[in-house]
Amino acid sequence: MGMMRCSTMNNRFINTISGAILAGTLLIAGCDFDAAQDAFEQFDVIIALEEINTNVSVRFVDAQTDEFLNEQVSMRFLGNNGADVIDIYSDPISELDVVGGIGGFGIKNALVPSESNPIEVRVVGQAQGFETGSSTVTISNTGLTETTVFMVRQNQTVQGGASANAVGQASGGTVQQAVQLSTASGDATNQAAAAVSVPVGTVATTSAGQAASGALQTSIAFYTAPTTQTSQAFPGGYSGGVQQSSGVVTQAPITTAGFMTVTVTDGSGNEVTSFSPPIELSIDVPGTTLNPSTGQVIKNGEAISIMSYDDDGGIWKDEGSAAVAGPDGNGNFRATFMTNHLSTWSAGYAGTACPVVVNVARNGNIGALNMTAEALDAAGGIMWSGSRSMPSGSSSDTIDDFPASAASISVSVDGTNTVVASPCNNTVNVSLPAPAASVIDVTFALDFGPTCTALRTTTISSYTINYRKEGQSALQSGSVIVTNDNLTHDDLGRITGGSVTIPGLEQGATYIFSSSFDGQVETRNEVITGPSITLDVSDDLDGDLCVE
Amino acid sequence: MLFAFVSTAYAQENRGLALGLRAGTMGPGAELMLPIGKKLTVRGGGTLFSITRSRTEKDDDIEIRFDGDVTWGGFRALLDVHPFGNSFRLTGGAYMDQREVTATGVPVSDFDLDGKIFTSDKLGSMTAAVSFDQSVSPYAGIGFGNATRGSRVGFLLDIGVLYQGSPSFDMTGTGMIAPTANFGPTMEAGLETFKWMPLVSLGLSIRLL
Repeated sequence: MGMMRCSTMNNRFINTISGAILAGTLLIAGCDFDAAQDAFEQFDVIIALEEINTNVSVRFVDAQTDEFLNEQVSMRFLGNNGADVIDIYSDPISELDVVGGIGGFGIKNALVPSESNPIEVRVVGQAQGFETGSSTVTISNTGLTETTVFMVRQNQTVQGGASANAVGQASGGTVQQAVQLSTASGDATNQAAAAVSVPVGTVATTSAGQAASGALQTSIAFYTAPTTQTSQAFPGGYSGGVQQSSGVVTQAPITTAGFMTVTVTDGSGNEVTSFSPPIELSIDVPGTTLNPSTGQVIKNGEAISIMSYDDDGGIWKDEGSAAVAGPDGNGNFRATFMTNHLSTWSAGYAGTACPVVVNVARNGNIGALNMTAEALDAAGGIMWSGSRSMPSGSSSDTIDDFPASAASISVSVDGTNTVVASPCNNTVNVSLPAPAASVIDVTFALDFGPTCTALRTTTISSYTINYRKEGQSALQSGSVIVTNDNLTHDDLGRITGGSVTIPGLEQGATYIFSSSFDGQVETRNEVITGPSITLDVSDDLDGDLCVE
Repeated sequence: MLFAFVSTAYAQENRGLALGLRAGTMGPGAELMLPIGKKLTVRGGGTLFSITRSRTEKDDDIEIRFDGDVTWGGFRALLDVHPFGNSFRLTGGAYMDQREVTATGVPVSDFDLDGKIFTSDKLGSMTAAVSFDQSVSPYAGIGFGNATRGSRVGFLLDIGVLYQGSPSFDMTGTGMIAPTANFGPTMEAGLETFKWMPLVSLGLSIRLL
């Protein structure tokens, strides 16, 4: 009995011990399964993006309104370093769609621009309803470089220009009813005019190579260059060089005494682009036009260069020259030439360049400055213009591509104008008025929104913030770029926020902030309430970038 | 019932060297058992287990193929104590082995990030490995069966727990998803409390001498 009781107790003990150990073993006491599950649920893919050292911010501005273009712009990259353009993912790109009028791109990090070895990209913008615009940007330092592309609405002209329309007739590719079209002399500021003549019997062919037929809707938009706005409408800018018939691009500042865009469409709406035999075009140039060959105003019989604008390449092409005739009763000379294709045509010169140094006495204006320089002819007409941004901290700039034939230079720095005669190899001193006492530096904290805990990337490249005071034009805006130094990261390397400081903002004023990232622009208004402001950028970087 | 059966079948007197063949959570293995006293038996043996599995998972629009390898094996030295003189035993000892789980993740589909398409070859890959730094891991458990005594052929059952220490979770990455490896410390922290590993094995024993 005793043995049996002991054996029974042993079995109970065994079962108890066995059960306890078994339960403890299987439960794996102390293992925190929730912690493990949390860790695995946090797991997410993080994308490494390369920080891009050299960035360009491009403003697409309506030449008529000086406002950012609302239409979608297809931006293409050409020129010496057009193949070195990359997107925010460091992938080479040849074009990028831009919405909101502000675009950006980067340059391969393998290229380091400098004053002695600058990078040059020709930015070509095309938008529905606009003439092709372009600008050649020269990049001589890392960081952010800004450029502006002016876009001109088709079949419209800007203040100071003139336009005209006429209808001809074609059948089976042959013009049956001639087109004789001229702008009215009184429309343009300087009473100049432009004309096109398409005689009966001309063979007209569309851009698709088909015979033109039906009504030939013909229009001229003519721009003389005595005003700032007409000079802005000059496509391609004045510093992109001139492409010779050999294809070689000659780097020379382009001056214009007048330019015109001629458009012809047939009855099916197809653009008519070639004519045989060539048709006649005429451009009036002011009598104050300076001939760089003589250094004097142009005279009857003297040659003026004719150039056509290549929409595809965004560059001016040399089309020879024309002898001017005149002056007429308004003092203008007429340059008449023949062509077998339509485009934007300019009568002017591609002359030599000379440097002009611009020194700015900031007088307490610490932010980036917008500078526009205009080359003026003998009567103060604008024959060339160029815009650039003077970064915060800088107070001197050299305009290397200023046309040597100019009689004077007009420099505008943030609205302060200074005119200097005989500017070549000279210095222009600009003294800015002291800023309002309420101007402060403002640090903006970048807020990704309450649902976005982090971005699943290690950096955001070519993210720029454009800013301007309410009421100012796009041309008066400044830009800052958000670099990796501005960002904060979590332990995983993901971006959790950041901040960027913009100097020289007016306290109490409302500013318009437009941030550009990967072709998208988000715009918001902020009142400058103090030196620290939270900027909601949740709409800029939403979507798959956010870890919610 | 099985426990009771094994206990009842257990013979009382010491015999000789026995061979055990096992299969369990540590994989298949073999061991030699040698009685060193009336209630003590020493055991030494080894296991080797390796398995490879592949599966494809979709994580935030990225389809990733994971190829996983589970490898563990090594040697163990154990001492069985039969406190009641029957088949029940308490076991203690150590495992000298390696346990490692590795997985390689390779994106097999393009990834659309805010409209930007990354091709799978550009995304790169990532590798994760769970391992244990301890080369010697103490073991404690219970068991039934003693091949050195009783029937020439018998059953073996072991249930125990191995103290392996906190696992290390190492991740590496290549290509654009390389920073994903930064999750390594997070994952390791999540597994920090997993210091104990349950072991269960069943086997047959044959007494050799």
